[in-house]
Amino acid sequence: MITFKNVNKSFASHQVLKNINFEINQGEAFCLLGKSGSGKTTLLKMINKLIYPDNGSVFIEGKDAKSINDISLRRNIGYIIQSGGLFPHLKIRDNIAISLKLDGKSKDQINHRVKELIVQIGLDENYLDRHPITLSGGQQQRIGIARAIANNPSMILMDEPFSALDPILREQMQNDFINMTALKNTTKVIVTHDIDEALKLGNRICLLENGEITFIGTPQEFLSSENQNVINFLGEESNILKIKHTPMSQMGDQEKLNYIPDTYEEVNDQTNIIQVFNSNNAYVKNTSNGNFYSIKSIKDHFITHLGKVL
Amino acid sequence: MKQLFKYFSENHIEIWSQVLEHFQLTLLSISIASIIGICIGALISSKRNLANLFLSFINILQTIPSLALLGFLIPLIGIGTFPAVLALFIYALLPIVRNTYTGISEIDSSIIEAGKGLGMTNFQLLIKLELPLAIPLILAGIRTASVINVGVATLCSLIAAGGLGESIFGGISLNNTQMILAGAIPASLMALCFDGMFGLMQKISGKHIKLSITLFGLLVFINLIGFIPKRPDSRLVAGFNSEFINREDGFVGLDTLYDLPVEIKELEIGLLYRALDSKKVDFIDGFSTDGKIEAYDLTLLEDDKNYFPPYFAAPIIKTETLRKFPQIERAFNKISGKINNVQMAQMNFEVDQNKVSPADVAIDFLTSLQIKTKKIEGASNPQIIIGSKNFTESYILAHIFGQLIEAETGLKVGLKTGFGGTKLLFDALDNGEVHIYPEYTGTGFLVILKPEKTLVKELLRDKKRLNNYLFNEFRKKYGITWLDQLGFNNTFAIMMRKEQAERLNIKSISDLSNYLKN
Repeated sequence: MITFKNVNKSFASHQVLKNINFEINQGEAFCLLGKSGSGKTTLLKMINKLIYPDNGSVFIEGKDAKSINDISLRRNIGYIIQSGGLFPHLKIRDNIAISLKLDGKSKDQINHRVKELIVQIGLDENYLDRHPITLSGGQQQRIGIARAIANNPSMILMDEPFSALDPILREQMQNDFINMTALKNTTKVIVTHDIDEALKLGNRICLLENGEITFIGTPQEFLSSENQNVINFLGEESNILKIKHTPMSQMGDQEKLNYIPDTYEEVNDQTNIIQVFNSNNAYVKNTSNGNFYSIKSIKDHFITHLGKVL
Repeated sequence: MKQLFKYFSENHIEIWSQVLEHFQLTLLSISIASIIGICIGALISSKRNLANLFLSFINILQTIPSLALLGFLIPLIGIGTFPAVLALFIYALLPIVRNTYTGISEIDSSIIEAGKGLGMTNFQLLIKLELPLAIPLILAGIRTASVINVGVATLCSLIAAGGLGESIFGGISLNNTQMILAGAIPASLMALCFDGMFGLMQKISGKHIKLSITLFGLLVFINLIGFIPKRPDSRLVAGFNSEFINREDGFVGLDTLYDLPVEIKELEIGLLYRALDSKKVDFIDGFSTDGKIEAYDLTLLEDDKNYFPPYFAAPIIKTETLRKFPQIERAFNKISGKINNVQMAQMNFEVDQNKVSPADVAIDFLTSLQIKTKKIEGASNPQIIIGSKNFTESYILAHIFGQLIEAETGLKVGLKTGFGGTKLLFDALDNGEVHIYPEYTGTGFLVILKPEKTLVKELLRDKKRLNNYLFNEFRKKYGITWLDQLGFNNTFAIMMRKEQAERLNIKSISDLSNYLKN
C-alpha cells in the first residue's frame, strides 16, 4: 500500500505537485493519467525516491519513505521506463539478472530465475546471450519488465511503458501485460498519457492536471463521470474521434445493434447513450443507470456490422 | 639509405635500449595518467561546475610548452626519469580526463535512471554502468594521449631521462642525418604501434570489455616490471648536453685524454646550469664566455692539458649575399676584434642574470663603439636575415649583427633566432633562409666540415693553418665566407659549483680525473 499525504513539489519557482493526497491499494493496477507536464512522472518517482517531496510524506506499507534507505527501498520496487533503459553493454542474461546480482544471489539461483523469466515474458532462452541492440523495441520492453520483476518486488512502477511502441505492438504488449500471472499480486503504478492504455490496464485511474488530482476512480467511473475535468480531458484528447450524446429512442433498431451489440439486452429506449470513439476502441455508457459497456474494437465492430474496414 | 642501415646495424644495441627507454617512459606515464585521469573524470562527471573549472585548469597545463615544463620541473624534482614521467603524465592527463568526462556525461540518461531505479549505489552505477559504457571514448583519449606522448618523450632525453631523443638531438647537433633518422623512425613506428594497439582495444571494447581492460592491465604490469631505475655509479654526476657527449672534440676526446670515469646525464643545453645549481649534477660542460658562470657562482676547471680546440666567433655569410651587398663586410670591419672574452661574458651575464634583453645589450655595446643603433623592428620583407642558435651569446651576437647592418648600410634586417642546433641553422644558411649568423671556428671545422681525424690533430695545433683550411673549404664547398673574427674565444669548458670545487680542492680537469678515480 502506498499513501501520499499532503505532498508538494516545486522545481525552481514552478509548483509541479500541489497538495497531493491519495492511496494505492495492495495488488491493484493504478494508472496516473495526464498530459505532459501534469506532474505524473514526478509523482511516480517519489515512490522510489528518485525525487523527494518538498513537504508532506509518502508512506510505503505504512512506513514513511523518508525513514527507509533509498537503495534498499529501490531494490524492492520494480521500475520500468519508456525506452526500456536496458544496459547496452550487457547481454540480455546479465540485464535481467542485475537485481539478483545486486542481491547477492548464487549463480545457480540466478540462472534458474533468468530462464524462468524469459519464458514468462514470452521469449525463449536463445535470447539470453544476445545484446539489447539486436532485439526489437517490443522485445526490449519485455526484457525491461523481466528485469524489473526478477527479484519479485512487491510493487512495480511503470513510466509510459508502451508509449515508444507502434500501435499494433502496443496493444499486444498491453494484452500480454494484463495476462501476466506473475504480476497478479504485485502493486502496479502506471504512468501514461494514453486514455486507452489507462482504461485497459488500470483498476483505477487517477487524472492529474497541472499538479492536482482532479479525479480518482475505476475506468467505468472515469468514462461515466460528469466531472468537467474528465469530460474536458476526453474532449481535448486528439485521438478521441467523437463524443456523441444520443437518446436511444432516436435510434433505429439496426443502429442500436451496430453500436452496442454485446449489451443490447440491457439497453432500452429510455437509455441515454454516450459513445466515445477513438482509433482502437469504442466505449458506450448508459447515462440513466451509470453502467458502462465496451465494444471490443471499433475495427472489429465495423468489420462485423458494416462490412468494411476503416 | 645504405648509410642508414649501416648506422642501424652498428648502433643497434644503443638504439634498442633507447627504444625500450622511450617505450617505458611513454607507457608508464600513460598508465599513471589513465588511472588518475579516469578517476578524476569520473569524479567531475557528477559535478558540472567543478568539471568546467577543472578541465580549463588542465587545459592550461597542456598549453605549457613541453620544454618549459621540463625546465620548470628541474628545480622542484630534479632531472632523470621521474620528472620526465611527471611531465608526460601532465600532457596525457587532459585527453584522458576530458574523454572520461565526456564519455560518462553523454550516456543516455534513461540508462542511468534505470540503474538508479534498480537500486544501484553511486559506486555501483559508476563501476557497472558509467565506466563500461564510457570505455570506448576513454580508450580514444588514451590513444590520443599515447601518440602525443611518444612525441613529447623525445624531449625527455634533454633532462637525462633517455629515450630516442638522444639520437634525434644528438644527430641534430652533430649534423648527422643517419643518427636523427635512427631516433625519428623508431619514434614514428612506436607512435603508430600505440595508435594501432589502442585503436584495436577501442574496437573490441564494445563487446569484450573485460578482455580489453585485462590487456591494458597486462601491458602496464609488464612495463612496471621492466622499469628498473638506474643507480648512479660514480662519486660525481656529470650533466652534458647531447652535442658535447657525442662530439669527437667533446667528451669522447676529453675522456681519452684525461680519463673521467663518471656517470653522465644527458641534458638540454639551457637546462644544464639549473641542474648544476640545484645540485642534481656536479659538473657540466659549458662555454668559457658564458654569463651564467658568474650568475650561478661557478668555477671553470682549468684545461691543463690544452684539450679544447679554439672557438673564435665570427659572422659567416653566403658569398653570393656578400657580393650583392659588399657594404656588409665594411660594416662588420667596425666590430672585428672588438669583443674579448671578458666583454662577451659580461654581455651574457647582463642577459642571463640582469634580465636585460639581448637587443638592449647589443645597443649598449654598439653605442660604446660610437655606432648609433636602435632595436630591429623586423621588416615584413627583409633584405638580410640574421640567424642565431638557441643560447644567449648567439642571440646577443645576432642582435649586434642586425643592428650594425641596419645602422651602417640601411638594409632592412630580419631576425630568425633560436635554431636548435648547428645543423639546423647551417642548413638554413645553406638554403638561403638565413643570410648571416655567428659561428665558431671550432664548430665550423669539426661539426660542419667533419675532417679526417689525422687532419684534425694536425690542424688543431696550428691556428693559422686551421683558419686557412676552414675559410677555403667553406668557400669551395658551400659558397660561404667567414668574415673577420670578433675577438673572443668561446671554447668548451668544464665547470662546477664554486663551493663544491673548493671543498673537494678541484681546480683543473686533471684534479677532477684524480678525484673520480679515487
